[in-house]
Amino acid sequence: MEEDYFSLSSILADNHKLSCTFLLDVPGLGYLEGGSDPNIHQHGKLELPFWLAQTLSLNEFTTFPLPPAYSNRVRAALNASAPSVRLSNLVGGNGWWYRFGKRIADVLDDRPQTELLNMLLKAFINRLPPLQDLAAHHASTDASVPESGHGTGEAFREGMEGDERELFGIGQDSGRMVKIWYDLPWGRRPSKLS
Amino acid sequence: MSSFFQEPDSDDEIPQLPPELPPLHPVASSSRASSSRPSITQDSFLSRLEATASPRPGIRTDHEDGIGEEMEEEEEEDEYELEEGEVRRLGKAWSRERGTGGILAWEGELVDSLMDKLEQQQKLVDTLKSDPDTSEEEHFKLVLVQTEMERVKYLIRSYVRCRLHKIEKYSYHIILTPSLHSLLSGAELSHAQRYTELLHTHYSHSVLDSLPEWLRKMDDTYGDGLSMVTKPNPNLPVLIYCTRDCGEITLDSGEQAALAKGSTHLVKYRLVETFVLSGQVEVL
Amino acid sequence: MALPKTLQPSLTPDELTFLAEEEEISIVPLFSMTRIRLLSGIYGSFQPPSSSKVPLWLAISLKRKRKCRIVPPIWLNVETLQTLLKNEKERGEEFGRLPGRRFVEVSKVLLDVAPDDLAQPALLRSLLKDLREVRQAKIRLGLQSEGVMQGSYLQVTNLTPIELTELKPFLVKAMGMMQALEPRRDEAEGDE
Repeated sequence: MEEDYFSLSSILADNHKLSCTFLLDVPGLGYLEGGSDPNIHQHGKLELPFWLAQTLSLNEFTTFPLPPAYSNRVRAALNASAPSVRLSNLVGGNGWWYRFGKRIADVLDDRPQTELLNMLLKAFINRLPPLQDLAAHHASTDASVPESGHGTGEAFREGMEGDERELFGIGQDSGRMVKIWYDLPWGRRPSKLS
Repeated sequence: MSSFFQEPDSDDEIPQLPPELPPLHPVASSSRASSSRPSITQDSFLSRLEATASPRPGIRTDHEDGIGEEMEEEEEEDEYELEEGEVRRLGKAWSRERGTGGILAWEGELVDSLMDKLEQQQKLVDTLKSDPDTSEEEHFKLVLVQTEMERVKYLIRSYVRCRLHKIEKYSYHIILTPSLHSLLSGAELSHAQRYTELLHTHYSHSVLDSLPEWLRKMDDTYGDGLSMVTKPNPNLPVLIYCTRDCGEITLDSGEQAALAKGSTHLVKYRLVETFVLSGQVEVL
Repeated sequence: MALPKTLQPSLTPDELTFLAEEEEISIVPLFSMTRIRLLSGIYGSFQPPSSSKVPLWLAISLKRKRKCRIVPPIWLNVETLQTLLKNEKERGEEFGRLPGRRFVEVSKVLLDVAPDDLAQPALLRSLLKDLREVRQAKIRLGLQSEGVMQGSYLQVTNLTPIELTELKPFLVKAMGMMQALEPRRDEAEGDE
């Protein structure tokens, strides 16, 4: 996850919404809730994109609980078998589970921050071996690299979130590039690089 | 023939070389800027051309080839010592530049020297090719000379392109950081300047000018440290091969890593920067 | 360069091979030629049947024109490769040191361009492939061990440039992720 101001992935991750509770009344902005009430009331709940939630929370206008994507239930599932958890749709269609989680962690207090980051890190590390195996398997088009015995295979592939998919793509692409180099007699240009 | 002798087919992703960057012609020297950098002026180039013009290629004698005569002069022996390492050295410089995130020092001397020699070779080739008395053996040698020339041109181009990519990526950061300026050639620095201006003008016209004035900044930094100015990441890992023993370094985890001769490591650039710059390790 | 951004951090196999072509190799010229002065050095004179040392790219060029025979490097024979393979299999997790730093590139190029100058090229190819696969399996296994890659450091001694170039982009991204997710101890540089 590059900390690049212009990173599209980060921008997309930041745009994901989470549920916020207002700590005070806000007259006139009731339309944000979508109902007929012209005002937002204290304790009212709203789904806001993270970038807005962050500022509002830092200024203590809102609070938000840990989104369900990072709940104890998810944590337990990850502890049982990290590769088996589908992370791809936990954070909306774009699915940047790690990035979004990290952004949330950034605004938490020390203890919950460490806990959340640990959950993310542990999940990533435990999911790395099957990811790597799968990428190697897909890079060798003649299936000379067998799929490992994790049994998760394609199911895992579908459950990968955004950064994992990128990582998978990188592994696959560099593996393919080397394989093409091995296969092609030296000096002959391939007609089309797949 | 190796595939490197033609321009890559898919050139569309590669930015066009800015006009100031030297075409492969010695007079448009790549080092234009500060006097502290070695630069090939018109005069020194011409005088060198003369020195090599004497019993040398291009001027036919009846029993010797234009290329590769017996060398008798001491001076030419020395010149060869220099020449021998240069192509390899540029290869290492290219590898280094590709393998690291930030921009390294422009190898002006090396590139200028190679370009000079390319020019000389080209003159030689042109002369002999148009001369009807050129023997078959000489013609054959010319093919080999040209083969090598294409290789060296490819290498120089690749080196320059890699730097160009980085310079454009970090152009604003470079402009804002005077200490980096000496790492660039004159042409590169002015390109960084113009590129930044172009980019910022584009941003202004397409977006920023439509925003309230206080939102038009291009160099803001947020409270959490995120800056609008893209900088190279010193923690980016590099692959290093230790050509000699570099002792031990302390990793961020607190552990020690022994950089023994012949060992290879993937390690944060920041921790081995001195070794990379001094040449004690090679970057893969 | 025309490379996808994600692969740029390392040289491509083609580029590595280009650099490997600077390595010197012996040839037996099939024609006579006086010395030639090139930018990278002086070569020749060529007088069959004497052998001569030239850069690999030149040897290939001459070979393709049927003007020379290539003398295989001392390690490019069945016996040596079999020993290397056996050695690799018996070493457990460690990687064997392969002859020359450009072992992979040089052997591939010679098999492609000058199989007729090699003894039992098909067997050589097969042995090289086996060697590669044994090492690849070790790499995959090694990367899955506990705590590897953490701290964005990995010792990869004896891995060859081609093997490393395949790994580097993947490792860099994985390391970057781990770095970003490390619970912050001290705020020195911020993360990445």
